[in-house]
Parts: sequence; C-alpha cells; structure tokens
Amino acid sequence: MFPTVLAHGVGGRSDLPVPEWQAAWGAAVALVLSFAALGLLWHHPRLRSMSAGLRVGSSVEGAVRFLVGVFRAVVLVVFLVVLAAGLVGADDAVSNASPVSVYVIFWVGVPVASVLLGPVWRAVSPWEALGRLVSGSSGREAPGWLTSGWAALVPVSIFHWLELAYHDGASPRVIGWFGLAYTVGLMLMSRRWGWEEVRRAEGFGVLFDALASLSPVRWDGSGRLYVRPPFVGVAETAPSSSLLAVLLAALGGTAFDGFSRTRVWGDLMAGRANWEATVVSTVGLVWVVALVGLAYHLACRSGGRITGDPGFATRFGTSLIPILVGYDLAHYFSLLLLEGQAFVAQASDPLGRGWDLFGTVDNAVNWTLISTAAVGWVQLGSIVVGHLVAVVVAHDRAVEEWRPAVALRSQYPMLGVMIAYTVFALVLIAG
Amino acid sequence: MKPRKYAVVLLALATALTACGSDATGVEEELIEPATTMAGVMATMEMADHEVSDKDMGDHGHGSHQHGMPIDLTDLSSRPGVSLVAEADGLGGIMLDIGVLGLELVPANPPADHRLGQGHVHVAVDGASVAMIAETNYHVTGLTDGSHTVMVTLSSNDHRDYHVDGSAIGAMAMVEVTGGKPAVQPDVRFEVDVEGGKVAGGIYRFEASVGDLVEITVRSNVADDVHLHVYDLKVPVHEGMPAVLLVEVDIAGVFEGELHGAGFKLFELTVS
Repeated sequence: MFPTVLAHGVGGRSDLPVPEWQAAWGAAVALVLSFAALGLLWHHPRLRSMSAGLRVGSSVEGAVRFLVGVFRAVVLVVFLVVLAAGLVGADDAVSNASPVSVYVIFWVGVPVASVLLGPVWRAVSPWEALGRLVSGSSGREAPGWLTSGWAALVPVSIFHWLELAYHDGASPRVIGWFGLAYTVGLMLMSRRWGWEEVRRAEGFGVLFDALASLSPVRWDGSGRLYVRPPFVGVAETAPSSSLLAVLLAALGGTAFDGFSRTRVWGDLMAGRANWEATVVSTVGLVWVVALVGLAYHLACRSGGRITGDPGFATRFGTSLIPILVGYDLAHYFSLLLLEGQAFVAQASDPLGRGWDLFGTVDNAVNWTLISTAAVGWVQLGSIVVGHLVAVVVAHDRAVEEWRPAVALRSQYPMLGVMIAYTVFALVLIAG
Repeated sequence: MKPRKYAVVLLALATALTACGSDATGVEEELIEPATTMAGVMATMEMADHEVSDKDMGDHGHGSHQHGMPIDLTDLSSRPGVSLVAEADGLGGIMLDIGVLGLELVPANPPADHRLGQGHVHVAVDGASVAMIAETNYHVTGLTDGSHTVMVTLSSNDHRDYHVDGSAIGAMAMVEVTGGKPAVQPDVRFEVDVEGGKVAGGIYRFEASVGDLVEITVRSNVADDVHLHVYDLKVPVHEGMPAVLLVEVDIAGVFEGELHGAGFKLFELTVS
C-alpha cells in the first residue's frame, strides 16, 4: 500500500505482477532446496565461528572512521532539515522532501545499506549522536519496560501504521510531528536514564542493527572492521523476545503492504477515503500482522514440544531476519531505485519554497531506470534467497543446541512456517 | 443544427463554487455579463484546487520548480477575478480573450518576486500548461480537431496560484476545434464513471502495451481533478464535462489514477 497511501506523495510506478510460472518456479526451488538442506546440512554449528571474520588493515579502518564522521555530520544536518521540512515546509507531499526522505531513503535505503555495509545506522544515526550528547549520568535505574527492550516495538508499530494504514501518512506535518515527538521523547528518556539504556527503545536502530547482522562487514565496538561471508553474522545475534516482536511486526507490516496491492484489497478499499480508509486499513494491518505472528508461534509451539525448550520461539527469532530482508527487497526495491530519485531534486528545495541549493531541482525521475522484468527477478531472487538463508540459519542454531536427530525434528515446524511465509510472499508478488 | 464553431465559457471565481452555488453569486454575475454576450453556453463551476497550471512549460512536468504553496486571497475585500472567451479560429487554433480584474499583469520573464496585486496568467490546454502570459489575448495553435479544454488561472509573479476559499482563481472553456491536424486515434480507450464521489463498480483495471496511445475518459458528477501518476497528467472533471486523459504510455509498470481532491483510487493502468 505504500504507493496507495503515499499516492499523494511518492507513489509512482508499481511493479508488474511477476508471471505465475516464474513465481511457481521460485516456490519449487525454495521447497526442494529447503528439504535437501534438512538432510544434507552439517551436524555441528558452523556459522558462529565464521561470523568473526578477518580484520581489514588499520589504514582502511582509519579511512572508514573518517568517512563515518563526515557522514554522521551530514546525516545530522539532513535529519534536522527533514524535520524542519515536515514541521514548517510546504504542506504538500510532492514538493516537501520529508515524505520521500522518511519513507524511501530512511525506511528502505538504510536497511539496504545495513545489509550491505553493517550497522551504519548506529554509526550515523542522529538519535544516537543527540542521545549521547544529552545522556544523563546513569545514576537512576531504568524501568523494566525500557531494559526489556519491548519499548522498541512502539516506534516501529506507529511508523508502520502511519505508513500503511493512516490516510494522511504522507503529509509532511504528520511526519514532522511524529519525528519531533519521537526525538524529544528519546532525549528526555536519555537525560533521565542514560543513552545506553534508552538505545533499546530506539526501535529503528534495533531493527536496522538486526538487519546489519547479515552484512559481510562486521564492526566491533572499538572501531575495528572485519570482513566475513555474507549472512553468517546473524548466528551471533543475541535473540530476545522483544527483538522477535519487532521482527514479526516488520514482517507483518511488509506482508500487509503487499496484500494491500492485491485485487481483493483494492476492491475492498474502492471509494474509501480519509478516516474510513484508515479504519479499514488498520483492521487489515492488524489482521495480517496477527496472522504472521500466529503462524510463527504455532510452529514454535510444536517445535517447543519436540525439543522441550520453552524458549524455542525466541531462540529462532533471528532466523526471521533474512526472510524480512527478502520481503523488504521484494516490495521496496523498485521504490528505492525509482521514487528515491525524487530525493535528488528535493534536496535542493527541501522545504518546497522554490529554492535551488544544489542546482538539482529540475532533476526528473527516470521511471525507466530499471525494467519491469529485472524488478521481477530481483523480487523473486530476494524472497527465495531470504528463505534459504533463514532455513540454514535456523538449522545451524538447532544443531548448536541439540543433537542432530532432535535438531532435525525441531526444524520441521520451522520449515513449515518459513515455506508458508515464502509462498505467501510469492503469491503477493504474483498479484 | 451543429454550429461550426462555438465556445463554452466557464467562469470560475475564487469562491469555491461548490455544486450548489453559494455566497459569491453577485460577484459572479458581474463578471459573467460580458462573457454571456459572446458565448452560447455558460456554466459556472468549481475550479480544481491547484497545480492545474503547475507544470513546467515544455518538459514532462516531473520535478517542477513551480510547486510553491498557493496564495490565499480569501480575506481580501476585492478579490481578483478572471473570465475567458475562447473561440476556435477554424485553423486548428483557439483565440483566447481573457478578462482580468483586480490584478496587475506583469510579464513572467524576467522572473520577479511575489508582490500582492501583481501576477500573470497561466494557460493550459487539456490540463497541460502551454503559456504564461501578461496579455489578455492569446492564440493557441497547432491543436488537433475535436474538443479541447482551455483553462486560465491567475498566478503570482513567482508562479504560485492565487486561491480563494481553497480553489484557484481561474476560468475554463471547452472548444470544438476545426481545421487542425486530424485527431489522433487512440489504440485503446477506457472509461470510468464516478457517481456521487464513488467509483461505480470497484476499482477499474486497464491494460495497455508499451507504446500504446491510451485514452481514458473519466465522468464524474462531482467536480475534482483526475490525476494519473508518473505520467503526471492532471485533468479537471466536472458534471457534464468529462476528463479526457490522452497519453502515449512508454513506461512499463502499474500506475494509479486517482481522484485528487477526494483522495481515492479510480483505476489502475497496467502497462506491460
């Protein structure tokens, strides 16, 4: 529904449905390879040992540190400008830079950058920079809702609702006030309990950090850089129930986004506008998120019975990360490449006031930058690859925990739910 | 008996003349008067809210620099107004006689800063901008045979629309052009009916091939703008005056057409 809700803002060229034969082949490949994986994969955990990686030279690290410093300053400036644009710029989703900046560059671009380059958001996030700046002495003990990490679910859920359900989500004012409220809220909490605690409530950072675990680049806390095979890092991501909730919310939201582009949903929404549309979309969003969550929990209850592990669902939560990235790319890849171009023009006139700061204001979006066929293959590829990586990651975690026979049986329900997600995703992109 | 040429003059005063007329009737009539003598048919209607003339001249309208906020003149005691008499010239063109009240016309070039009381006229044909002028006569040429919609709106020096009660100050006419290039025959034609602000019978779904000339006719009994994304067409629609979107589709994908003011989707155009 991204283009639908944002029709007034950044909606543009939606993807053609992937041909059914292509989607069916994708499903077949995913199915066959996943079952083969169960039987053929290793019996001892391997990924965790690979995830440390090889350290790159310190000269490279120095250059990267410098670049990160520059980027942090640039991102802080862009953040303040986008916030200002949202609050006082032209209240028009096309000329104001905030809708495209937030819904395309931030919400799609940062995850893609995280998967490719590692935890970039943590390195350049303005909330990180400002949060540290105002961070109070951590004398007071943070409350349970903060330390448990569940607070991260709040911004992520509200964001999804604004993006996918609220009829006026592309309005610069809505974006501006949400951004301001979130920023002020984080800063007040940071002042009181210290940023190290409050970081757990910065849901976007939590989510993007989780996605960064797939990256072939690992950054340790002290600025050292390592390269490793892609995807393996997810094995060492610490699972938690709150992270699982954030991942399921994001997965459900993206699934609803796909669902909202189907014929069924389009006809249901026909002629509905404003709050009526918001109410119906909210019900749909909650329904799809609940369905996605329920499927996962049913599978994990079965897995828990097989292994006798009460924490089964949480333990395998991180294996949803590759599936989420697959979903994201399938739904938003073309959005980033096409609508994202609007940012170039808007950067010159972020507030929609007729400026031309960088001489790029007439930069037109090239709507044929990528062919519909290429988009189709990327969609299919990302869903299938995301699925396979998830199967392997879950398998590795299972053999880490249990002897091979139990581990194998524990993976039947996991495989079941992953196939369900993948087939659902393929059905959605096949329209 | 069919007249060889006729002009429909449509006058829109600032006041959002919602379907049922309302408060500004007195002013309207004063302005309508001179037009009536020249035009056969007269109608008053609500003007599309904005951006109608907000496309770059010549280019494809993406990334326009004329996208400032409209200037609201609702609180002004003497609001500017515009009237339009449009007549086919029999040679594939339309002669425009524009009546502007309460606005000093200043050429759009060289660019000038906004000054209240000054501005120029944006001329659009079939929803596409063709000229920005400071004169009251203009000759549109090179049209195809058939019905064309001409619209003039009052713009500030910095190309923002002057608005009153949320609507652009403008006037509109529908002209039957003769003696021009032969009308192009679209490869595919689609029609959409909107009744009482609702799409009749669910979202319309149209399919076309890359390179097709597509004509989409939208009929509505509520005034609004029809907007086709990416191709960036925005055509006003009124009761009795359908919006006709004519476009050669050269970008593959799925594109939405929406009723801009009401804010919902009318159709999906799939180009493959």
